[in-house]
Order: sequence, then C-alpha cells, then structure tokens
Amino acid sequence: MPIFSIYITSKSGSLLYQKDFKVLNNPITKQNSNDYLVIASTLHGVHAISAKLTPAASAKNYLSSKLPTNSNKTGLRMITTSQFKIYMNQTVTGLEIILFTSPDMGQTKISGIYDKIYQLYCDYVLKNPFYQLEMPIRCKLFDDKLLSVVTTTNV
Amino acid sequence: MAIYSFWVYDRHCNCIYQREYSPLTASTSTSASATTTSQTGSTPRLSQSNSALNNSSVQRFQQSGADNSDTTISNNTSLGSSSVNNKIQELLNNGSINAINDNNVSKLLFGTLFSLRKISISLTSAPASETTDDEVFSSHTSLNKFNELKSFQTLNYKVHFYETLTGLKFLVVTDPTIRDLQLELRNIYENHYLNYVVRNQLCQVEFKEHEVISNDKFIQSVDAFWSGLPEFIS
Repeated sequence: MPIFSIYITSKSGSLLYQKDFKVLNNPITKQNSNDYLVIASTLHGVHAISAKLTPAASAKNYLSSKLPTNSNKTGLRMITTSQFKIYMNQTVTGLEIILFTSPDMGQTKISGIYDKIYQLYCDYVLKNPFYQLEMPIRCKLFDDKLLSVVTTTNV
Repeated sequence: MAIYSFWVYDRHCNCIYQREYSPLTASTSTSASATTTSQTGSTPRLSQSNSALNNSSVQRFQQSGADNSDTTISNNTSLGSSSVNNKIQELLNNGSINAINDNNVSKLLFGTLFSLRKISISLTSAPASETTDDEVFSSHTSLNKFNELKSFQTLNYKVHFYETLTGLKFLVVTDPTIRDLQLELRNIYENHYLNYVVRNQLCQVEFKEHEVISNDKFIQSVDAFWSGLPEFIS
C-alpha cells in the first residue's frame, strides 16, 4: 500500500509543498511545476464545491461514521480512480494534506498517516523560526522526517 | 435512503436525464469563504419542492404514478414485505424527474466531476508540453488508454461515475458506505439506455440544449432497476 506523492496546500489553495516518492510501478508521471500548482488549486476548489452538493437527506451522515471527524466534515475526502486514490484532509486551520496512494489503501490506515504528517508539520515547519506562514515549505528536517514516515508505510 | 439521485450527461456536457429520489440541496448561501464553509457542519439549504412542482414533466409523472409503481412492485418480489414496497413507492413518487437539469447543482456536480476526471487523466500521462493536441485527442478516443475516474466521496455522500467511449457520463449519488456501483451504471447503459433511447426510433440520439430524455419506458425501467437493488433503502 504505497504512497505515491504528497501535496500540502494552504487555506487559500496555494501549493506549499509537493513531493513525488520513488515507488515501484508508480502510475503518476512527472509533471511541470506549473501543472502541480494547477492540480493543487483545482483540488482545493473542488473540495469546497463538493460540500455544497451534499444531499439534504445525507447531511448528518458524518455523525455515524467511525472516522475522526473533528475536521473536514463536509468537504471532499477520497477520490478513486482505476490506478490510484487521492485522500484529502483539511485541518481546522484550513491546511490541506493531499495524499496520492495506491488503490488498496484503506481509510483507517490513512488517518494514522495524516496524524503523523501533521505532527511533523507542527514540529519542523511551524516551529522553524525562519518559516513564514503561507509560503512554500523549504525545511530540510521536515523533508527528512516526512521521507522516513512515508518509507516505513511504503515498505 | 441510500441512493439519492441519478444523472446522465451527454458528450456536450448537457444534463440529459436527472432523477432525484431525495433532493440535492440548492445551496444559495453567500456566507463566508470556501475553507470556512467546508468546516462548519451546517450550510443553509433551500427546499427544491417549489421549483420541482412547476415542472410539467414532474406533474405528468405524478399522474402516471399509479402504473409506474405497479411495475416497481412486480419487479421487487424479492423484498417481500409490503411496508418496504410502500416506502419505495413513496420515494419514487416524491422524487423529481428532469426538474433541475439546468440548475446550479447540476452544473456544480458536472464541474466537480470534470475537474477530477481531468486530474486523473493528466497525472498519469506525460506533461502537456510534450504532447501535441493531436495526441491528446487520439488518446481520448483510444481504448483503455487513460486512467478513469471511478468515484469520489465526502463523509456525507459518494458519487459513482461511469463514462462510455462516446462521452456519455452516468452518475449516481449514494451513501458513502455503499459498494462500488460502476457495474450497475454500465448495466443501465447497456440494458436500459441502449434499449429505450438508442434503439427507440422516436427518441433522438443527439440531444440539443434543454432537451432531455422524457421517455416513459426508460424512466420506468431505470426506476425499477434502482429500487430493485438492496442498497436502495438502507
């Protein structure tokens, strides 16, 4: 159940961090740096629109779900395609973590990975005195720790 | 109620059939930005009953409701108990047909789907600068070449998607817990759309703007198909 790539977008939809991981049989091809920006902001927009499409009868469905629901109650969560899945999670502050995984990745496993990544973001990005909010993330420690989290799940 | 609505879009991006078993919200809320609304659980909702009642196709359907529900019952012998049948009947009669094809909800749904479909295709193919327009066109028409979108979901609902090679798009909005319904959508295309729309000499194949499928046979057989699924009432 490998993770192919990770995008982190800010609350306004700009791409803060993007990384493709080296995985065997990765269906995701390398794109232009511009395409990454387009994809990230499209996903951000679609995330908000999908909340508006909620059928009235299903509006309270999230109450019965077993997943952690302190954030992202109404927005887009998962996109399934034939070659990969996209998992999106939004924290209460608006930061979005988007993971591209293989189609066999489950929801419960992904929520554990989110927690770890968010923890890393707090520890190594937000606590970095040289990091400015809403700007692209260039922190070597975050890079390294993120890679080790992803490698442990990919193996 | 696990199946909320069913939509068919043609290759010109027009909604040619829309069947609602339970209303989608027409959210006209102007409040707050995208990020904040997606976090607050409650968004203002507007009932669609007024707009639905004005539509002639709905009224016509309600008049012919009696015959329609008979066919439904006969196809649902497996469900047995009459209370379940009554509930199905009620849902079928209360829903709307082709009432909101040009509504904002319909367009938002299509837009969401279109963007996600584009992302799933472009991420698995070479960057745009390396392919010419001709190649992009031919790759869309060639078989099984690109990564197809299957579904997307939030905690509240799930949208299943099936696209034919001719560009027809079938969508069904359901509960998020439901299994993959792509095969069912394909079944509707093969057994219902082909039989009652394509092979019907009185029904056009190419739809102009604001033209919809108002073919009673198609409507009845699709209703019977969805209400026959065990997932229809959960």
